Amino acid sequence: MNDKKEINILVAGGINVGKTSVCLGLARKNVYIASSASSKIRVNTEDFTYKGVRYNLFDTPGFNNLLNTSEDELKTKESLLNQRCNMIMHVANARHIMRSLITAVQLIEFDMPFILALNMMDEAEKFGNNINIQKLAKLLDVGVSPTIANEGAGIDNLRRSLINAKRSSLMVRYNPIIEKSLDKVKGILAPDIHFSRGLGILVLINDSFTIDWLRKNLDDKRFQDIMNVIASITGDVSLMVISTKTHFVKKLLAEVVHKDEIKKRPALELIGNLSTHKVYGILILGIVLTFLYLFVGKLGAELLVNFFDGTVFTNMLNPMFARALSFIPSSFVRDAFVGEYGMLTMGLRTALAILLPIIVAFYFAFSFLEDFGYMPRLSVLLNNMFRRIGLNGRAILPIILGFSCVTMATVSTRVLEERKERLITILILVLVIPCSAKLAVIVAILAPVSLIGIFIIVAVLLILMFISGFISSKIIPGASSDFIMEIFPLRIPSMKAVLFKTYRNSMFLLKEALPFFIYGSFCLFLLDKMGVLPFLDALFSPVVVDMLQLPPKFTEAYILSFFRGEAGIIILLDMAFNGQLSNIQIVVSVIVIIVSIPCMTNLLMIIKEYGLKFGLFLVMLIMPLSLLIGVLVNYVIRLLPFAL
Amino acid sequence: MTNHKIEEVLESIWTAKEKGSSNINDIKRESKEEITVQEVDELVKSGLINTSGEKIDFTVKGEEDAKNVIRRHRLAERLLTDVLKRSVDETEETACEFEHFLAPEITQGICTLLGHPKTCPHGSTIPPGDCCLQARETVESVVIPLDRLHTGESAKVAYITTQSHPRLHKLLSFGFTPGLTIRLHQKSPTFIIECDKTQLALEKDIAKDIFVWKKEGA
Repeated sequence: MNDKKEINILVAGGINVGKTSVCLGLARKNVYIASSASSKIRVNTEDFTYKGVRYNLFDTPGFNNLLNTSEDELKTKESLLNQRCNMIMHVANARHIMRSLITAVQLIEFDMPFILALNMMDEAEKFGNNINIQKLAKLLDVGVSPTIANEGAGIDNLRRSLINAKRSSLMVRYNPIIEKSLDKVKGILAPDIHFSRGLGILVLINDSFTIDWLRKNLDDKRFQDIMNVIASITGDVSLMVISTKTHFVKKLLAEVVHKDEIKKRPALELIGNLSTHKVYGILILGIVLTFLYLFVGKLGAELLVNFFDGTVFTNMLNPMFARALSFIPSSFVRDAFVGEYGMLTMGLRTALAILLPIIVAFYFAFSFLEDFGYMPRLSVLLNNMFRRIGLNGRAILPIILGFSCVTMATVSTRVLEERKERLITILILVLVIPCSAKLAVIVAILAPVSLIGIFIIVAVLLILMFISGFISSKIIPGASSDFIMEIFPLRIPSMKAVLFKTYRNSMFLLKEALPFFIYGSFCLFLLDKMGVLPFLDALFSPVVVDMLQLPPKFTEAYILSFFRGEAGIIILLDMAFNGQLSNIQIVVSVIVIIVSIPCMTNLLMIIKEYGLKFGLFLVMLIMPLSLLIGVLVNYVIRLLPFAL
Repeated sequence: MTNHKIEEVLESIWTAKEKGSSNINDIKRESKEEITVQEVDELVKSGLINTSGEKIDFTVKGEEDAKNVIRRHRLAERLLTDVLKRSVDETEETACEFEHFLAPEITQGICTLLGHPKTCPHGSTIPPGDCCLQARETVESVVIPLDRLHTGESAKVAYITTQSHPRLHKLLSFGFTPGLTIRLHQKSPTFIIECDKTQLALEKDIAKDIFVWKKEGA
């Protein structure tokens, strides 16, 4: 290995185990960005040079099990079969060590120099799993490096150990039928194709990708010989293989993992048990939501926002900006910075004084609940409900994440196993989930509206979620995946970890949003000065004025919301403050903007992950749908006997 | 006349009788092998059957023997389809072999393992053995699907009977192998089981596919 100057490493592993963080860490890129983005930045290749050897890292999509045939596994299989790489680095999740090692044993069978990066060691330790690394390395006969990639821990060690990566001598023996067939396959492939037990197993389970590959790489006669071997096997190879491996790993783990007696905390255990109960669980969910509302809605969106927006910006900073820029003679230039749509008075203010306090409060609460261990319990509680719309409890996580940033949530739909589930979740995210930035402005604009008005908005969105989920689960082909989930005991959250996550996520979102807020207000300023806005208003007035019964200026908000939802609602907020919107109009316009496309970034991300066709389809579906729903709600609300 | 042949004939008489006929021609139609007049005579001499004209009837001993052959055959079918996941058509040949050599204790073992099933995969009745009658008197069958376990009870995983490979892979990768001791923590809204100091949540649909040995007194 050492005499080669260039080594291509295939980076393989499960979904969300931190492959990208490990890659960026090894290449000494900024890990911080990668991890905070929830692998938003998709690194396909990274390279670095260490001690004169150039390493190219090929990051693959996460997969569950190489014996499965879903699209996620294809890329990894393709790289393994075509030997694009001459080393495998398996990034594994130490917390789910059993599943990780079954995959490791699978990858080792491909007979390449192998290195195991055991990531998320901190998580494993938190849950009382003490892993004896030396012993694990010895039993697997490979290099094992413990890492905590999102903090950069262990990455230097991993980089050093690459030079020593070697083929493992480990061999898991299968039953005689399989062993005999493997020998036959080896004999047939012998002169041309490098045989590995991993390849052999893929052949024996009649894996369609592998068989196609063989058809291209073998002459007809030998290909037929291979097919004869497959046909001659009675019994279920993949079942036999996986159970042999499971038994092997189970035995190995008994030697390697020592489980701490987790300190019994009867109170936490009781809360944990109650939170998945069909009745008490709902009660606890109610309490959690109330606290969430008080914390994010009252403390974040009212107290903090009032302080930063009112006291800090309106009373102190805005006049200061105005004074500082008063030397500029042109009122046009001055207005660009400190006017109605000024980059400082509107752009910077809304980003720092309205958006930031709310996302900080949201991420704090979210990280707290996550660290507490509540999220999986929510999945258990709501699984049956989600089943009705073609999803399972697992989908709750991306949907909750949507309340912080729909774009981030779109990326996190990767944790869902079936394409169908991902598409339904994205539809729900786009249609009904307002992100924290939008929520911030919505809370402000709803201040004069009665509880009934707020209730109507929530009810309309919930109904829409169920109808759209139900219909799409009938239309989109494919199956839903099984719901099996490990539930860890509740524990007292570590404040340090919660604060760190809050900081990281808020900073990431702010960096993303701040430039837009500033450019956005500049564009609005230009449109305003050029007199384009009244023209647009007139163009859309048949729908806006006649059908939605909203002021013509709503068009500006609607168009802007396409680029960034909260920017659209800020226009509405402005109108409401100036008394241009009645309470009914506020409710209708908020619903229309929530249902409409959340923001440009989100749309681009959907197109990137799921293709242009799906993205355009969503736009064509959602734009008219949002207006239609607005018209309906407006019509119904005006029939109600009480005021909002 | 070989033992094998005797059992084949008894089996044909039983299946014809199930369809409501004791006519020799119907019985011959049920049999895979030729049945000769001499063979029928021989069975009469051994005291297994009585004949009157074209009709054939079991003696008490003959009926008992036939019942056991049928029982072995149909239990074998159940074993092959439920546990080994073979298709119903595939099982026929193997089940025919099984019916001739399964010892009574093994038959009983299989019957208990399968939870004293009442019908074969084709829907025909499996004649109950002593073990079935005993089981009915004492408790429920020993091997039951996980969804029939009561909350708080412990059990040991016996086997998993799913047609879906991803589901099986997933269960195995969570360490769900036969022999694992589990405790059912709750059934609603979602099943939660405890094993190896961890809790696993799974849906009822999956729980139905997992068969467990109920632990006595737990």
